[in-house]
Amino acid sequence: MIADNSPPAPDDFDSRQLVGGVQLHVRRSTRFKSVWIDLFQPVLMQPGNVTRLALLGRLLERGTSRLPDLRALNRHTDWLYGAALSTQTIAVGPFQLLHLHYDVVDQAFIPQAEDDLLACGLQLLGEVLSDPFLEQGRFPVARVEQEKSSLCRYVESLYGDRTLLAQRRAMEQMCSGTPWALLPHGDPAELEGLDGDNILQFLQDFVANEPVDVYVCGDVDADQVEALCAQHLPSLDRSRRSLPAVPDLPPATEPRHIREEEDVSQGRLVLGFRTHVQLAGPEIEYAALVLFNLIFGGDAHSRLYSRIREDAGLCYHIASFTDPMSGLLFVEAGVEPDDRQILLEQVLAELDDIATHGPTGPELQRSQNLARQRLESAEDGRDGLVRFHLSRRLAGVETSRLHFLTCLAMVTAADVRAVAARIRLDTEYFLEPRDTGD
Amino acid sequence: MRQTHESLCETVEMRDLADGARLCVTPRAGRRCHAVLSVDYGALHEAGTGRGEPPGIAHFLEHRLFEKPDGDISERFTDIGADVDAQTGFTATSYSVTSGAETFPAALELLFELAGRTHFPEDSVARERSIVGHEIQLFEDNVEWMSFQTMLQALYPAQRIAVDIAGTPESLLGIDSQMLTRCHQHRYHASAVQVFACGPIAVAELVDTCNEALSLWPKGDSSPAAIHLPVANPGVLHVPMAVPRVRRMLAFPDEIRRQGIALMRHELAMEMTLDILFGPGSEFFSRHYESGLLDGETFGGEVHMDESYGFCVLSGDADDPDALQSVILEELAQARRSDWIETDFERARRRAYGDMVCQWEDVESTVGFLENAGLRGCHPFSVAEIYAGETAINTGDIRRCLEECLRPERVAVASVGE
Repeated sequence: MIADNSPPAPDDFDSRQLVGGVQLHVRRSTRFKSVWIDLFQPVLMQPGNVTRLALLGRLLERGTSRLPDLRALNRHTDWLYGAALSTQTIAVGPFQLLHLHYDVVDQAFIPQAEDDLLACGLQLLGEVLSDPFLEQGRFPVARVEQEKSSLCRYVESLYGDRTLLAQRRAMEQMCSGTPWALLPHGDPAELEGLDGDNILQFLQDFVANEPVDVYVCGDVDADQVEALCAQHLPSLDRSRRSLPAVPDLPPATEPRHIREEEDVSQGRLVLGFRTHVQLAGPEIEYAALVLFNLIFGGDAHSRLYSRIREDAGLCYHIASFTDPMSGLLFVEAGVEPDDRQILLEQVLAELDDIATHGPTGPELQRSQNLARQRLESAEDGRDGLVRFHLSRRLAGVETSRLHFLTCLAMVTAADVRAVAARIRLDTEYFLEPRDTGD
Repeated sequence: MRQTHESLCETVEMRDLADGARLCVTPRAGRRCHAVLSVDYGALHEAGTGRGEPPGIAHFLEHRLFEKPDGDISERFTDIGADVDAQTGFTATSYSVTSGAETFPAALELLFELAGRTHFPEDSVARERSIVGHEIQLFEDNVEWMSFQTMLQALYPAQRIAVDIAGTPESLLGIDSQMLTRCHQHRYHASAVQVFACGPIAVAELVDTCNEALSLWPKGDSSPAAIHLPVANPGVLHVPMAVPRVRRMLAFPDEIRRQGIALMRHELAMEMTLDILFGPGSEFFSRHYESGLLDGETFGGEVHMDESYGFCVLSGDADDPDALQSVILEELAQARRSDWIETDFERARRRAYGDMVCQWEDVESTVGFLENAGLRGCHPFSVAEIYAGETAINTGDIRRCLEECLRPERVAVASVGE
């Protein structure tokens, strides 16, 4: 075997603070064929702002003063051996992040390349943020209008996915008045008051003042990356706002039961639970929640999947997942209206069983193996490492991936049982097929 | 046979296994291993209801193989920290596993057991019919899936390829335990098996593991399964669905049969043709994106090429799908008379080359590359040679795509929406 036995580094990234509060995180590895740059600017989601930032993300992708339109941008990146540039807004818990991504094949595999493909990328990201294409100092009106209607259509089409629609509706009900109720893609209802001028003003303030995290992964030298950042990224010379704290959820109430109708061929059931365990809380508790979720419904060997889907055949699809920053747990399933009640009862019975008796030895062992396996193998990729690191930075937690591995191994069946015992149903949401009267 | 590619810095080792099975491995340092066990049996091989193989049986078999006398075998994968998955396609069924290096031999043994050992109690066969029935229904809410299915029906009316790979609730009714056993015995034999793997792997040990596992497999006849060759008969089809905007899909059949490296080269040429004419760097894309006719999120092309069928697709949401369709067809007619192919070729080639290099990045996409080449009987490095160098793809290949396949008079049209 030629397994990589080199001892893992204590942290996945070489992190350093650049002037003005920009954080640079570099992972040097020879494992990849490409170099990735991911730049994030996080803010808490707020009504009004979510849409402004979402629209801004779209406009930034339309052109810079050097590469004035989509075609010029795309042809430029194609010419850099199929480099990719994207700007989008994403959600991590209550945060909305402007996310700029650039990836390009590692120069070592293109002996004939005439450009420095890494430098080209940082230059491009810098231009996108600080030098967007303007006509007489403004975003072209036609472009703003196009992106407004694209945004509307995109949000509409998201809801073409009925499972996602049901999840969103449940989330809106459970977290109304908090950032969690908002979508990072924006709200079409808020577009009316937005124009190129207030978006441009917003951009200038946003880019200069909101915190920045830059991740670079590939066979790169951290000092060289730092120098390139200093050369190409805007507003490095000034201090920035600090990261806001994660807000609280509204207080729990009696369980709610909500039914809505839609044109769907199969009902979608979403159960929202409060776990009272958060990413920012005690590490062992959070590790126990991760394992609980795997045992309960987070994987194909889970109780919900094997007992409710496979044994009882009550539904095709059932799974659970958590939102780590809020400590919410969701179960979602595709189910016929007639089977909804029995499905709900069975899910609650499984929860109650783990809360009373704890997981079995083999269940705990299996979930630990799986969690360890996934966390260890994350280092063969980049998405997982960046997401792990970023979500903990946002939550204000300083756990490294390797430390969390040891926490997972320490969790006992009693820890999982204790976590399960505190989980309470908050909302049952059912999206049911419209009664057409046939 | 072990070969190293200088500029990719990768190695490929090909080995013959017992009873005609084949192995293709890219060993490399890292923590994870990924492997695919591919069986040459897919939906297009199904002999038909009258001959004991109703539509959907290949997929049904794949689902049922997960059950063993001691329960769902995926639990045993999870027990050792491995992730298992399976997929049934038109011409192959593949079983894949991802695991850490130390558990990989055990994971691969399990993978052979998954595909090779049968246990089909009648009650679970009945339950499976209801699960697959749910699955088919669930997909009916999915625009992507519905438009693809509708396109196949418009392009290949009343043929197996146009029926859901999973079959229909009616076609599944005929499936019973005996039928599954016969189908497995007949179709799952070693000579129909190819294994592709990547990760920190010692090839000699892997060969032993595979051969030992294969010795427990059924010894069937070794004649390759016959395939239903789809014959294109392009038409127009509309399926109503509650979506905000119509999804229009245009499909162009490729009716010249190709094999091996010629097929791979043609597939790349087709992808580059779509990129040059309609990709995000094309004049077409920016013109119609600016005018609002084309939706940037959903518009795009796909190429589906195999020895037994071939077609390419252009699709997207539109407020005015007829207008979108006519500008696409006009663009194709004009392209034949223009020099766009020649002037834009190098940009498209560089993009394709970079993408190809990046496919060797993680273990899953590397195995995908090996599999794609291997199932067409090609060496992966011969495929890499199509992208650069003296024998690489050229503008003549692209011209041929325009003349032979992307013909406006052979278009099939599918719409999903109000």
